[in-house]
Order: sequence, then C-alpha cells, then structure tokens
Amino acid sequence: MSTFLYCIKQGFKNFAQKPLFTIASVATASLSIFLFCAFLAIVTNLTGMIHKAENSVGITVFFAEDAEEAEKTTIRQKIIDHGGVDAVRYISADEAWESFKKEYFGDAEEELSKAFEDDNPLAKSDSLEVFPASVDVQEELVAYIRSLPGVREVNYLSEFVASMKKVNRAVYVVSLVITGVLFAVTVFLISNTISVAAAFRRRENEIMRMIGATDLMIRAPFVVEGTLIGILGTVIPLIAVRLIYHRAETYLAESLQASSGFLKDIVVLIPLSEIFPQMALAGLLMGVGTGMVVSFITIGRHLRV
Amino acid sequence: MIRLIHANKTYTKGVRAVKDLSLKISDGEFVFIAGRSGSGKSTVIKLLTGEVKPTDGLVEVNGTVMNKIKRRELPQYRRHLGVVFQDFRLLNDRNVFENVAFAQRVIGVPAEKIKENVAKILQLTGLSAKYRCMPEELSGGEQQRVAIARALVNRPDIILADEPTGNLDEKNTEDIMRLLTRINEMGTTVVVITHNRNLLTTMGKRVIHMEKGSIVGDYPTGLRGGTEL
Repeated sequence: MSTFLYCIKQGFKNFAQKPLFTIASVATASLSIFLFCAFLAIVTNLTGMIHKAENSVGITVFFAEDAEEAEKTTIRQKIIDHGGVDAVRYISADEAWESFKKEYFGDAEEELSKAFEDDNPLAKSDSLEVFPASVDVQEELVAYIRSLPGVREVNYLSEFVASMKKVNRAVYVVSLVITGVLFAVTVFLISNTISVAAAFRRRENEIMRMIGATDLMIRAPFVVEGTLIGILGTVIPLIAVRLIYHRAETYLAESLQASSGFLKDIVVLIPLSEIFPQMALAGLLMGVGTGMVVSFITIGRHLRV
Repeated sequence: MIRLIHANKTYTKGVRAVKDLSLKISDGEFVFIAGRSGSGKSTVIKLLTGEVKPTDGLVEVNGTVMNKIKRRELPQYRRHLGVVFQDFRLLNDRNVFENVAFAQRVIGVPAEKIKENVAKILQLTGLSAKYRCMPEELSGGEQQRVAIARALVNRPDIILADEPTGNLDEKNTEDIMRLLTRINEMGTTVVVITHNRNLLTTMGKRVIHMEKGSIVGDYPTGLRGGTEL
C-alpha cells in the first residue's frame, strides 16, 4: 500500500472512529449548504423575475378623453424622438377589450362578449405601450411622457418592481446572516471533530514524527477526513435541494397555468438544468473547500516538532 | 559521528537542562548515558532527535548541525535515526507486523519491499512467530522488541534508546541488551539512556555519567563496582 493510499485509508478510519462527532459535523455542514443553496435559488430567481418584470412589462400611456387622432400620433412620435425607447406599440380600444376579456374572464369570455356585443366598455382606453431601452431610463421617460399634453395617465410597474427589489434585498441579507452563522458553526464543528481525531491519533502522530514522516503525511489523514465531511455535507443537501426545486418548479408551473396575466410570464423559475450546476459548484466549493481548509488549519495547530 | 561542543539547553521557564556539555560518540560505538532523574539525559536525546534545539554550543549528528536544522529538514534527518522509548509506544490497534511496517509506510516504501524488510527484522528480533499478535498479547520484553524492530526497519545509522529496559524484568532486560548489542555489532551506533547500575557495570560498554546537566564521568569500558551514580 503506498503512502498516499495509507493516508486515504487512515482518513476513512478517522471518519468512522467517532460517529457522533462526524454525524454532528456532517449534519451542520448539510444544513448550512442546504440553506445556502436554497437562498441562492431564491435570490437568483427573484433577481431574474425582477429583471423580467422590468423588461417585459412596458409603460402604458393613456390618452386624454378628448385627444384627437393627430394628437395621439404626435405623442407617439415625441416619445420615439425622446430616445431611450426600444419600441412603441399602439393598442386600440378593441385590442384592449379583447386582452382584458382573456385576462380576467377566461372561460366566461364568450358569454361576456355577447353581453357587451355592441358596447366596448374600454372605448376610451386606447393606449400606447412603450418599452424602454433600459430599466435605468424608465423613471425619466415616465416623467417626460407625463409632461406631454394629451396624456391622461401613465402606468408602469415601479411599485411592484420596487417591492420585489426590497424583498430580494431582505432575502439576500437574511440569507447572508443565516448562512454566515451556520458557516461559523460548521467551521467550529469540523475543527472540533478534527481536534478529537488528533487526540485519538496523538500517539500515532508522535511515532510518525519520530520515524520521519513529513508534516504533509501527518496532516493527510485529517484533511481526508475533513474533505469527506465536506463531500457528505454537500452531496446530501444538494440532492435535497434538487428534489425540492424540481417539485417547486412543477408546482409553480401547474398553479400558474390556470391563471393569466403578467404573473404567468414573470413568475417562472429558472430551469433546474440551468441553475443546478451553478448551485452544485458553489455548494461543493463551500462544503468541500471548508472541510479541507478547516481540517488543514486545525491539524496544523496540533502538530509539534 | 555525534558531537556536542559546549552545548547548553535552557528551557523557556529558565531550567538549565544541559550545561556546557562536550561529548563525542564515534560511528559504531555502544554508549550508555547514565545519571539520576533531572540530570539532563533525556534532553541529550531530544537534542539529538531535533525535538529541542540547543540554546548555544554545537550539536552535530552525522554532519547535520542540529542548531541550524530547519523544521522541513527534520523528517529526512530522522529517517537515519531509530528511537526506542521506555513505554514502547506501540499502536495498540495494530498487530506486530503492522507496527513494524508502519515505520516503512510513512516513508513511502513499496508494499512488496515492506513485507520483505519486516520479515527480516522480525527474524532478527526473534518475533517471526508472533507477527500476527496484538501488542496486548505480548510480554513487556516482546513489546520492547517490537519497538526495536520498528526503530531498526528503516536501517538507521544510530539507535537512541531512552530507558529501554525501564519497564522490564531482569530476564527481558538481558534479552533486550543482547539484541541491542547484536545490532551494534552489525555497525549501528547505539546510545542507551539508563539508570540500571547492573547494565553499566556488567556490559563493559562506555558509560557517560551526567549530573545536573553536565558530564561528571566518562568510563570507556563501563562503570566499576564502587563508582557511585
């Protein structure tokens, strides 16, 4: 058996030698990584949704009730000429009514159509849908449009987006704090487990030193143990997060299928195949990296020439 | 060759364990270092293994100046030493073969070579029949022989034995000394720390007598009957 394999074997032996300590370390690491991945998923998805909301939902401009067609054309042109605009689309009163019916009445649309056959309730609601070139110019563009004569009302999703941003920031801060605390506990527990392992192997380490083993050789079994804790503490929560995310993805898709409106387009989770590799990489770096580094440093404190 | 020239060792708490010690041990010599507790014998061994560095003076082992040795150089240096302790320091969860093989594993000897080397050493130390026994199944003398086998398996130039017979009865003490003599006859320098007066007078080997960190006597052919320790 080569020295390398010997060190690996001793690492596994350490790992199995004190099950309670090992379980505590793996469990805390798992919880820490699980929450880290869960928060990562929430923050990433919320950011994506906010971005989608900002970009896909435009600014709706309603004309004054007495506005003439020529005035509406002028308003449209002025908005285009102002710059910072990707597209401007005119929505006639009929289009607005059709869209409203589909959005809010769904299956009852036909009966409703009959009831309002010759009377469009949104007759005065023709509008312009303006898509800003960038979210950053939105506020300024809205202010400009509001200042134009012949404009009755301007709607956009400023409050919605702002609330979502607030929620996202709060989730981000909370996740950072909780993950940080759990991370510290994980570091402490792994360090403690390695210290216990060092106490178990004190005699062996002394003999190794006297025989001429290098520090690296003495450290190796402990680093193997720390890495094993890291691997298990990452793989378990990654499997859990994958299963839960898949369920959430399916559940959301099913729930929103029945509903309509812009939420259906915006509240869509990033596909698992897209988010999971990033999550797994981040989790592995955090879990395995922590296991390796903490065990390496901890055992260094127990090494004496 | 082991050379100490005006070597001093003062520990951090101000204890002067070794005072102005000058000593030369030639290659292939068998030397006893004797003295009462606190005479500085064990510190000499620690100076030779590199566990502690001299405060001043010179400590040189086979050309390696221990005053200047770097931490990263110690493992390589120690591979040329074999250290034996009074309490054997065996790994109780491994059998005789594994205890001896352990010394070879940590320095990266290939598995096939380990089998061959361990078998030879176990034969030399008279442990061939017990290679599967666990330490607890062995007598004190046998355990010490396992410890000597482990110290020998990497073919060291020097064996440093710190009270190797301290926990043994007369019969086992004789066996161990016979083994160490045989190892010495094969060319290995042997330095034994002891306060067993009988060994110092009957073995006919050089005895260095230490008191309070200094050498107070050097007897090339052993201690004479009337000499006090």
